[in-house]
Amino acid sequence: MLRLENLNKYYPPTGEVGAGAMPAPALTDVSLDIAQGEFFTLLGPSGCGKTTTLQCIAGLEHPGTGRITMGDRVVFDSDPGILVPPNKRGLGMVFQSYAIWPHMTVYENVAFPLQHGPRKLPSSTVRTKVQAALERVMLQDYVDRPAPYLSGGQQQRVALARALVSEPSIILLDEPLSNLDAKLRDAMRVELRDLVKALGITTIYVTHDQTEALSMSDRIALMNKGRVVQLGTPEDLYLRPKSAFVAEFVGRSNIIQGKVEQVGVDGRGVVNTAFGPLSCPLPATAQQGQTAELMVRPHGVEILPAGAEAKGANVFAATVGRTSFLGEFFDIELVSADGAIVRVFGSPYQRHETGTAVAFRLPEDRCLVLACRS
Amino acid sequence: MSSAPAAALTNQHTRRNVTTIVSIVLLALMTLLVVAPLLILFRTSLAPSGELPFESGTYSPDNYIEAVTNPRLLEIVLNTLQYALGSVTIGVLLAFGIAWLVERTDLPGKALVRTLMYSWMAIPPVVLAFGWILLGNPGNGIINVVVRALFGVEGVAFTIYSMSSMIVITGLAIAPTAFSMIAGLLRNMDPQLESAGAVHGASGLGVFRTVTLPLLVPGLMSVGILLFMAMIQAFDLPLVIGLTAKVQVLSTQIFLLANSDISRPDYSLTATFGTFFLVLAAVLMTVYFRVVRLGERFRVVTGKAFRPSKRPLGAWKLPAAVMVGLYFTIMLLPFLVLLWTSFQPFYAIPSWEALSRFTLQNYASVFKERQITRALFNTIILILFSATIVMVLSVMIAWIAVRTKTRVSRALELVSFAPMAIPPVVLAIAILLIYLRTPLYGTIWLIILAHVTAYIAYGTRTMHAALLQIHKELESAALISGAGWFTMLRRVIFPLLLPHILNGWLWVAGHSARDITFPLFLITATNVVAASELYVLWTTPEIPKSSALAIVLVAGLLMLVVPVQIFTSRLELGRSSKSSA
Repeated sequence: MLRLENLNKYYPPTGEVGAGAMPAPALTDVSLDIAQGEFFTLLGPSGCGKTTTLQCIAGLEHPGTGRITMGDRVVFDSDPGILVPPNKRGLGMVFQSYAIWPHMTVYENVAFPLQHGPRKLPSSTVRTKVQAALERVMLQDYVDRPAPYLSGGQQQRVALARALVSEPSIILLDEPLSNLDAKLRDAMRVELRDLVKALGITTIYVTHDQTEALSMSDRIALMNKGRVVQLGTPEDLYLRPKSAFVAEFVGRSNIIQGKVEQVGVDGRGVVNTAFGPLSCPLPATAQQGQTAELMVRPHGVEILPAGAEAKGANVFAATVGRTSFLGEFFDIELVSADGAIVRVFGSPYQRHETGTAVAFRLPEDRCLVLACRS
Repeated sequence: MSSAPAAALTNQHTRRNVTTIVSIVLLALMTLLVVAPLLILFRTSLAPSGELPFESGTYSPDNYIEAVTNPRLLEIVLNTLQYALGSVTIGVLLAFGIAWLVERTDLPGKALVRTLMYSWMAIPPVVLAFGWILLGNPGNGIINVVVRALFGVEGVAFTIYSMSSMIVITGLAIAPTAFSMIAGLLRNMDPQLESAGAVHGASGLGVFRTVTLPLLVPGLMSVGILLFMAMIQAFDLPLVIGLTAKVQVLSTQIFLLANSDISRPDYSLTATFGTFFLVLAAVLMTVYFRVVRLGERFRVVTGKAFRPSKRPLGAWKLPAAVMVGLYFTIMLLPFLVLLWTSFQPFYAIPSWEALSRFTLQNYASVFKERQITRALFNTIILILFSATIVMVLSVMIAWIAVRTKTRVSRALELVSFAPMAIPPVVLAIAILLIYLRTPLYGTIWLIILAHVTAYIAYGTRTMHAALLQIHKELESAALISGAGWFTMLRRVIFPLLLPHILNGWLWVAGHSARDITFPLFLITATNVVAASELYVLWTTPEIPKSSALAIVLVAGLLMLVVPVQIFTSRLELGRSSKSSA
């Protein structure tokens, strides 16, 4: 449905810097293929290029090279020099600041794409369509209210109604929930996803919030420094990150360094860590003697019941270090004899006093080797 | 990948769409309006005396040699500097005092002071000057007559016709303009900076001396230099007062050269003096930018909402209020004299006997005589068209300058800002030289064209500042919704900028109505406007009729300025209260 092929973009060096300065790449070889009706998220830290990518899709900015196709229509191609301006792309978009025009009423805001868009509709049609769009976001009672009299959540709904009113096949959402308070954000996450899914619209969602990305998306492209570093389903990103960056950006993680001790035939092996020998799955390329970087989620670590001996596969002894109670879980640091630390999220119903000795297990299938280097 | 092809990649796809076409068209238009006259001016300065630029084929430096060797040049330049420095010092000190009282103390009647200050825009400086001449001329000026009667002295106690009087009157007249700028500086200063000084042990005066003043100095400097530049270029007061006083400044010297009574106007020498004048103004402009850039480092405008602390005046409340009242009384005096004179058959000192000669004849003439009614009609055309054209162009130019960062947009910004550094008399001469032989000469449209050129810098600068406050996403949302560039401007930018546009429109309209520079330089029997007719009547001399016209002009301007200003402040107030709700 929406294809981005090898988008590259450089921001020209700013005036202050010398003319010879290397321009910072904004996008490097960004290629994505997004299916009809998919809820697709661009995730990443600020400055990673996710907003630039979205702006390129919208036509508000232009890549240096590459091609963007919507359906079977090429809207940007650097080679023959095709460039469809934003107002001819037929998109819906919700902006981070909502961009509700303060000098218009709710009705005027939502009716704008129908009145000034490519197809000028008769006013009776406009009225029914605006009414329907406002009903969809449950704002039918606010039709004639001036836009500045709305709360943040209501403005957000108006922005959504305006983006949907012309029934676009693609809708772009630029951090739409970042200005809402935490409670409202939780509610809107579900509502937003249900709405676009019900309408079958292809959705491109930009966020820096991993919870939003994981809970809403069909697929996520995690970006860093202008590149897509991993593309996959929420489970792929959380459970099978390909690098430490992905592991640490999507959820919290323990990164453990070790040395490959033994490579088994069944794709498993043993890595020597600060806690002791750890058996885990190994990549096919792993060789004995290489340095391995392991990742295990704090939720994946099991603290054995008090009094249990530190014996058996992947079970190690440690002392309880700093703990903090977060309500939903206990955040516990376990310190090994030579000072290595593993972070564990334990049950809030089970308290561990600092300084007590415990045994913990790193279940084999929850340990993921991110990289092996010679 | 090396940096050179990378940079080429970004430039490769510069949008070749509506905005590019519009910015090129605007750049061409602005170049024609601003740059072309200056080129012609320079060409004329190199032509032999008495030849017009399009007719002459020779280039000679004779005019420059004559101008430089003329001993009067140095005297005139020194006069100009003295006049500007003196009047700006008085104006800024006066304005700072009043602004500080209004913004930072509990002075009573603040709203009234602000309204009076802002409405002062409606009073043309020439009108003030005429009033002062009636008050202070050495013969039958009211002040002299009163002083003679009171103290029994003979001769002249006070004369308006001197450099020092001219400086004082100009200082009084520019105080309202300085007030509006300085009040903004004071209002936007975070009082926490002062509180911090007080908390850490400084006394009231100590805080003012060590915190407030140093923070304000860069801002005050830039206001001072801006006004200094304007006063170097000032023409109206030096013309009306200075010519009789035989105190000439650069602008009046140029006017005399171009409007010689005894011989054919010497346009070549005029253009030479104009070139000198232009260079002086350009140098000042550079200094201004240096100071402004320096001032940026001290920026105390944080954009946070705060309420500046108000210092109680205590026992000083009454004296302070009296001083401010005195200023307004002095400002009102010339106006009252004109009002009195406009009801008299001939000028006379106010007395019961003179009151018996009360007549409305002057006002009847103003609305009956063809020449004057034509002037009034032309004025309406002039202000409506010049203000509207300036604001429409300004919004588009400012948008292009703020939102597109291309070479065309930078050039456009520069060219539209340049008129700031072109003294009006120089621009007037240059426009005269270009259009003298065209059908445009002698029409009101030529004055409109001149005013558009002269005021476009103000318009683009204010619109530039206003546009920076509009979130870019408001525009992007319109484009994504399918609107084209012009629709976006019409439905989103214009309505959002409306209060600023109206204020700018008012400023241009007010200045267009009060300006006598362009109307006098370009005057013919058909394109006379109220301001130039005022001057013509005054010098005829038909003092009472001229006074009546002045009163009509001021009343008309007040009727325009006050309602629009009330409307825009309501509009702004309404929006800000709504968005905070």
